[in-house]
Amino acid sequence: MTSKKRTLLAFVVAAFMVATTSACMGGGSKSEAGTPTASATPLAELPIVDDPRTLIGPNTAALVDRHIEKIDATADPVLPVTTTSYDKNGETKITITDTSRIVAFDLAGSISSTIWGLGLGDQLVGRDVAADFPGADELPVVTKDGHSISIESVIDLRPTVVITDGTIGPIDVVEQLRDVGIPVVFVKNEASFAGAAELAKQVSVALGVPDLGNDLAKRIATEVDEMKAEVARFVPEDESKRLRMVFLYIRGNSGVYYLFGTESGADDLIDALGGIDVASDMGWKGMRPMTDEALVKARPDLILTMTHGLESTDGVTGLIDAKPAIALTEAGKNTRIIDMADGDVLSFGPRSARVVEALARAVYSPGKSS
Amino acid sequence: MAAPVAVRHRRRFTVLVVIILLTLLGAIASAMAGQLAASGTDVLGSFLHGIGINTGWRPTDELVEQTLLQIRFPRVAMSLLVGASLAIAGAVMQSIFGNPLAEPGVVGVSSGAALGAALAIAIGMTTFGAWSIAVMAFLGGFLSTILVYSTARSEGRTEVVTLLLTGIAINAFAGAGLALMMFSGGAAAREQIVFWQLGSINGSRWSEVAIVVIVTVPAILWVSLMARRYDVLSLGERSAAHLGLNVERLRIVSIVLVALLTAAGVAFVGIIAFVGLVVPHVIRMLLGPSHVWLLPLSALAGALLLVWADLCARIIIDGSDLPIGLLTSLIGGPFFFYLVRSARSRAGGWA
Amino acid sequence: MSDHRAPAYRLRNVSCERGSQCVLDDVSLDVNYGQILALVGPNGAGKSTLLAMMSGDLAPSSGTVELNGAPLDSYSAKELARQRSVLLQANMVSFAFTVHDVVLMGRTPWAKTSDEDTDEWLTSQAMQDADVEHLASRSFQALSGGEKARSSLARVLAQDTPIVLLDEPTASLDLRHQEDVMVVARRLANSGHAVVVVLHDLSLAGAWADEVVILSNGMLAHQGTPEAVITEATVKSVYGIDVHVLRDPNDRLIVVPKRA
Repeated sequence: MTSKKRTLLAFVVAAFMVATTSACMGGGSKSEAGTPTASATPLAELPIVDDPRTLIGPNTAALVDRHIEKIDATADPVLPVTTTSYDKNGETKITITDTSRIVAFDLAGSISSTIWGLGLGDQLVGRDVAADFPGADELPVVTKDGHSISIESVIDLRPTVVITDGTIGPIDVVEQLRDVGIPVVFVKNEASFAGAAELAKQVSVALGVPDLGNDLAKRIATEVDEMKAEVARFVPEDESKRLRMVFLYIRGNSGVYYLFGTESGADDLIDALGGIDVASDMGWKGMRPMTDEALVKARPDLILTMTHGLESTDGVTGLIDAKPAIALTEAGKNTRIIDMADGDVLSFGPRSARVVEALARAVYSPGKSS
Repeated sequence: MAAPVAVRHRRRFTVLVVIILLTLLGAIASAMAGQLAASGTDVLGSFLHGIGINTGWRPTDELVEQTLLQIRFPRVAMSLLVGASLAIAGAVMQSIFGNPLAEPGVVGVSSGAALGAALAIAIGMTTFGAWSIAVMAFLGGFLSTILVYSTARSEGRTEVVTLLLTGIAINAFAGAGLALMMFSGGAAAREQIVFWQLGSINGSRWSEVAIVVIVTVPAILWVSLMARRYDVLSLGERSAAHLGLNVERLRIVSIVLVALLTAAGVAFVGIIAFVGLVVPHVIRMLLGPSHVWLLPLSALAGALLLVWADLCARIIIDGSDLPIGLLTSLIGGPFFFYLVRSARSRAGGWA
Repeated sequence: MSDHRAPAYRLRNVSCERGSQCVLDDVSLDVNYGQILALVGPNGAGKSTLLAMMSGDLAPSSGTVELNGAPLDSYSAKELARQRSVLLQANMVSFAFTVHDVVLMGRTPWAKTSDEDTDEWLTSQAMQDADVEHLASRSFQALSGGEKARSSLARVLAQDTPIVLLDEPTASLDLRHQEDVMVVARRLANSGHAVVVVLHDLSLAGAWADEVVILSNGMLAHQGTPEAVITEATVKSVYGIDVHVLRDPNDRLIVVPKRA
């Protein structure tokens, strides 16, 4: 009996973990919650609200255009190339002789979009489930339930190089690919704008086109900076009128909120949106569960979240009904809950500036809700 | 039960041959199954090439051969070894506890070992090099076995209730320890812990198989050589001692070996419960309780069970690996229930 | 090690304390080959403890126990198993071994010294003596109490040792099998074995033993031939009950309580 109980418990825990992580990355732009704000009006022409705290109502941020824009330049790859792989057990040197068939996977789909951004999309032969942007969406998916890899489906694609960042495992299984003779490069992939630029450089080095990577990295940084400057227009001068924002990962039935803090990527997004990053002020690191009381104490004016998480609570109304603590906050009272597709919101890469733009629209120009 | 000697011998021989054939069949089927298509001759050809014999069956596609040699074969080898280890460990535990309900998973040895292994991962221990995780798994398993044994065994008898209660306590403690590491650890630790709780042979590598071979094969042989002593031990500790058995030494050696056999498996494939319960029981039903046959045949049948379970785990849901521990528990849970009930209906049970 | 001029056992001033309780108190006793020694006495008098002391299960807290003239603790477990066999009061077997298997286990101490034919022959002889031949292929666990006791006795006989220690071998047996067991014991003694048997039935002790030891409160109260030891007076003093000590037609002792 004891063992059955244990097994059951273990199963529930595992199911929760899988659900959590896979929902985390289920991409897609379709969303039923909130009202999409994907109007054609350029961001620069949208009206400015004096005190954004007076805005009310939920909203959904969506990328108007989900394409990955390639950089202009092209280059012939210089091969073979030896690059550093950041393995679980330390750095190793990996030599790549052929980049004609690339398989890339990570939780956020960032590596695939970076490869696409480098203009090497036609060499990509397999992807993770999050990399569903136009062009890549037809490629076979090598992850089986979101966060774990099906090794033989990778081998079956006969890749000449595999690029990943360790967020999809099990790591041992990924490393097994090397036993079969397929070079595997682990890149460092930080969830931040700077991380996206750095990723572009690492991926380009591994694929023998370092110059393209530098170009892409510069482009990402420039675009993000320009977008930040544009968004700054909406941010009130008066510090007290700025929105206190939290990024919550919510799961309808588990009763657990994960608050995303520094190093989660949410800090960079909130910063770019000109909000007050409550989690960082609290010294919150990574993604950790938080209690009702801590949420009330954080006094958020606005909650950012992922679309699938919100769907799991039956939308904004369901969420506020189910979580009285949210109802007690300004964000809850004004139903200022902004969701964005799970696969887009925290994927840092060539589209980062457009993610900021979409969020800024939803935050500062709530469209028809009043 | 005790048929004439000739019939008994024939029966043992039949069971032995059937188990070996089914195991080989399972091993080949398991090596053939996967997204990458491989035929039976590919499997045989790669295997023969792997052991240095070149035949016309060798796959023409290098990638197929490498996949077989580096991914499927170690996986098959691991399932055979771990199945054999767990089954024989169960049989030995039942013998020293004098109770058919004793099993590494049920009484907490497996989760103790998993906790030890998780600890090694969480603190990034490298004291024993590549063996660190295995060593810590062994220590965890060893301490749990000692704890269960010293608690549940008193005056030469094992109280079923005490045995199971001790198992609950150890499993709960180890579960809490794992959960603690899951909360405090990073994503990688979390992944590893979920992996342990349900068990999977996915990702087995030759280097891991080598460690498991070095630990379990000698342990299996050693245990099998002590079969007669386990027979005598079933008379109870005092009577066994009157027959010249050094009960104390047998007990200590057995506990160490059980912990080794369990930990070697747990360190690399996680907790796979009930193998040690179901397999020896079935062998006993087929061939009677004599350990001379029970121990080696349990090892073989354990290998058989796990190689097929792993195959099922891979093919039941297309493109996805079910945790193998989940499968064995699905079979083992009801079986355990049946054993408890039949113990209760028997006067006095096993207490 | 074995000196046949010495008695099988020589106990000198043996005491045994369990916790604060003194279970055996200064017992001195010789056990000789070729004899049946019956240990009798009320419940809790220390009979089983004394037997455990002889079998090597317990060490005395003071005093000495010698086996064939050498200290008992100088024997290894295996050497001991070739000198003495022990039948306990309660006998269990963990798994469904057959009676034949169980009796054959009695041959364990002689593994690699005797050939398999000897083992089989002694096993079947022992099963005959204990009248369990017809149970040979039955599972030990499925037997009645008396059948278990007899099968265990067969196991003890198969061990084929010069010294045989029996703790209440007749307790769960019917009248016929009680007599059978004592006949076997008699035969063992006549062929030179030393037999120590714990008995509750004073009539059995009186009828079969060469020597009777009455224990009372851990002390050796009386020792001698049945005629000398089993008297109305000693029984009264040790058991606290009035009895008739009678004689059967063959002049053996019969002990029956005086009933109103």
